[in-house]
Amino acid sequence: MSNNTSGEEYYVRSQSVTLLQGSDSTNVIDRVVSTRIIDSPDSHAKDVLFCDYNGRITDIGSIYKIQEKILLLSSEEMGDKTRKTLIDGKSWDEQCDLIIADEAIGRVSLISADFQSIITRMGFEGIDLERNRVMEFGDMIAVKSEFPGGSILDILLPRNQMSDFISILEDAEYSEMSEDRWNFVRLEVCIPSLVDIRGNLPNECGMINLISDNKGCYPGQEIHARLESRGRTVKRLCLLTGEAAIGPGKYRLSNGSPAHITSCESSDGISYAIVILRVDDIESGSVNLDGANWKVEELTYL
Amino acid sequence: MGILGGEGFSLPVVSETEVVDVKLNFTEKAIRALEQNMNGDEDTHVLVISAQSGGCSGYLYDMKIIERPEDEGFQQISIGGINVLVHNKDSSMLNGIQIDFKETLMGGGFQIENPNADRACGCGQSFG
Repeated sequence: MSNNTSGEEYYVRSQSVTLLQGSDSTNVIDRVVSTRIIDSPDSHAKDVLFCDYNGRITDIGSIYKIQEKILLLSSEEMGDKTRKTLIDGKSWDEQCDLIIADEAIGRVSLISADFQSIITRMGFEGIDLERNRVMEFGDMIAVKSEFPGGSILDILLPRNQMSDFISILEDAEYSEMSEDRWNFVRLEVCIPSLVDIRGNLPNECGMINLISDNKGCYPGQEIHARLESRGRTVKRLCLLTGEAAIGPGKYRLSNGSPAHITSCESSDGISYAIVILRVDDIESGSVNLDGANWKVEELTYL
Repeated sequence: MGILGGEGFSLPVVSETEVVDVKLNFTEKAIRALEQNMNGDEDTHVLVISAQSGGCSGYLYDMKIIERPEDEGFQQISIGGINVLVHNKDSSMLNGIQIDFKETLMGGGFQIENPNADRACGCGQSFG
């Protein structure tokens, strides 16, 4: 997948931000996510899936271990429900306080060919950005994430410092992305959103990397284990690339097979869409949808 | 100060759960097994039955014999002279459970049947 993003841009993300503190915080989260985090090192970011007992995805989050505390960034739409799952599941004798940080911490995602220069401009030199490593810069943290179509640098910072930080970005000639532009960029970079994956199984979304076979039971584990040993993936989350504009919804391919578009965006004659297709329809590498031809690639979460 | 020490953080979130008067049903086998496990410490120790997130179905049972905890949020039920505690936060999930004891080499031990559960996993330790 090519990276056609150009220039330097930023987007202020809407997220549910939760801080967990106390000696049992890691255990409380580890029991309910599909991804093993119990032995993740400090200053490390890890993406996790929350699934229901049928193994279907209910939320996606990023966990940042910082100073023996855990910062959980999860979807805005499922934030309260995910928090309730965590707090209701805390045992009477566990030390884990759950604190809502939506008003305290903001997230800005940066697109650039040279992340190092903005870090230097922020006044921090001699720091190498490593994938998924949580780097602390004063009151801010930075995490570089990689996706099939490119990299994103996420900056988390106190909300009361947001305007100062945006001034630094704009002085460095970063431009703010509109919601539509961000949607286009995230499709180009191949970042699935909850709207694309919710209600599907992780293997259907190319998210096997977020399933840990060695962590024992968690909600959905029986189903995931059965799929691993005996299952056959019938449908698959894919990226469509084409020139025609298309909207979200349920369609039929020219051969009559179903196609469910969950996200789509067009810009400068290029259109991207995230779609759920039957595996048999992907093999040729292209599909005809709504009268137009589209290149089709399976999405894989790195 | 760092990113985790500034303004705008909420107070710790408290779980709001329904509290009910808990009834527990122990089979004779379970009472005998419990007496053996208490090992004469009935005056100082209690059995705590609790639920926590996890397992294949959403919640896991936990049973511990411990010294009486100071936490005032427990309900106490006397079973054959042994004090069994259930925390108020777990009361609606654990009310009415039947506790049996199975003496098998594989998968033996205390077994819980829960009338509040819509589903349970194969090993019997998880419910939802």
